[in-house]
Amino acid sequence: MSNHILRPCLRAVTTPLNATSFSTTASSAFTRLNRDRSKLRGVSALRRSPKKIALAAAKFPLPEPVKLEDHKDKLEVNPDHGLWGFFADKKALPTPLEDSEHGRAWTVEELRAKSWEDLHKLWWVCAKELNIMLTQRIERERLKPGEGAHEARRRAMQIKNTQRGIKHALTERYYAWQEAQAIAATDPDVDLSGDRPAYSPKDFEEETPDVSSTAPAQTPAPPMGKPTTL
Amino acid sequence: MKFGTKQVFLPNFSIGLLRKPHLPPNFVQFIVPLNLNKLDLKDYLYHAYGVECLSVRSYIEQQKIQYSKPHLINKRLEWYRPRAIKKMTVELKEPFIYPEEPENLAPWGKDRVEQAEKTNREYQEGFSPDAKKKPSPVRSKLRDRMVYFESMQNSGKVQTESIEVEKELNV
Repeated sequence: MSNHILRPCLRAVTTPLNATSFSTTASSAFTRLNRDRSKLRGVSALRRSPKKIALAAAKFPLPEPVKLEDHKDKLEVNPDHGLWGFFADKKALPTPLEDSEHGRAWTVEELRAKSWEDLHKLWWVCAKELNIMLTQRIERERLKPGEGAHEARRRAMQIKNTQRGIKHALTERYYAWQEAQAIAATDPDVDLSGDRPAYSPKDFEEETPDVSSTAPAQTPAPPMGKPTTL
Repeated sequence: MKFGTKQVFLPNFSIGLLRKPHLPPNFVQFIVPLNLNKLDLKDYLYHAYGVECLSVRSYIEQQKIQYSKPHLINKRLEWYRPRAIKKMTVELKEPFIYPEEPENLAPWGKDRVEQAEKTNREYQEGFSPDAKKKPSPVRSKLRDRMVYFESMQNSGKVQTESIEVEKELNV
């Protein structure tokens, strides 16, 4: 009776072609034979490398994440998605010619006539347009396509000038209101407390001049209202 | 503050959308101002763009120290650290994919710009101390000219023999 250890067959397993496995080598048959019998392999005091420990989790391979490129055809982006507001014409980057097609900024004269609601709406239109320009700037710095930065800067300048004009008009209005407040404090006709009407003039008398032909030309001048200090 | 109750008038900042190919379609990343918070961004996206967010995460990137740009007044170049960049990743209710890159970069004149940069670089390299050790680009261009000239001569279209123009006058 021999004490030899039973070893798996070393001959290549020949499976018939109509079998499930197409491999002619059973790799699991060789791992036990060719295992690393040195348990202190790689352990070094100088390099402070530890002993190799077999992890149970190594038996289960990690799942591969799904790649976007493979499934891009299936994905449909909603054409009315709010984030399209960060792009012009749903494009990543405009050409320099497309970017240079813009008008001038609003002038302060034009903006003075607008109400607060209109000015605030215009401000938000400018803010959203600047968001588009920032998105394009980031993409342009990444792509480095050549030209286009100059045209984009010019366009952004017009938008910022419009915003500046809006603030200018609003500041002017605020200063006028502040001055009016100061005048109202000294003016006896004006009462901003809220109890009585705001403007109640006392010394204003309306006297129409005599228009008869016999009456002399000298007529007393109608008394003027209180002169304003504006 | 409750969602939607914070009133903001004349906001003076911009938000940029980043292209992130490795993020799934229901995630999108923005560059935001440094003093904006997650709640503000959620509010902003909903009220300005009608985009609903499920969650927002943010992080701040410190920038590398760099030399200041040359200035007319203060000519001394100084090291400075540019302002940090704040980025926020938003989980969307509805997916969104960043539009594709332009295929043909000809409208942006990439070839022209690259050629100009190459010419500039070669000119600058001509001033370096070991420029004379390297073969100058002019020599290669001369070689090209010689090749062209020889090919023209051999083609027979160019006149190689000299023709006497002056005529002898018998006065």
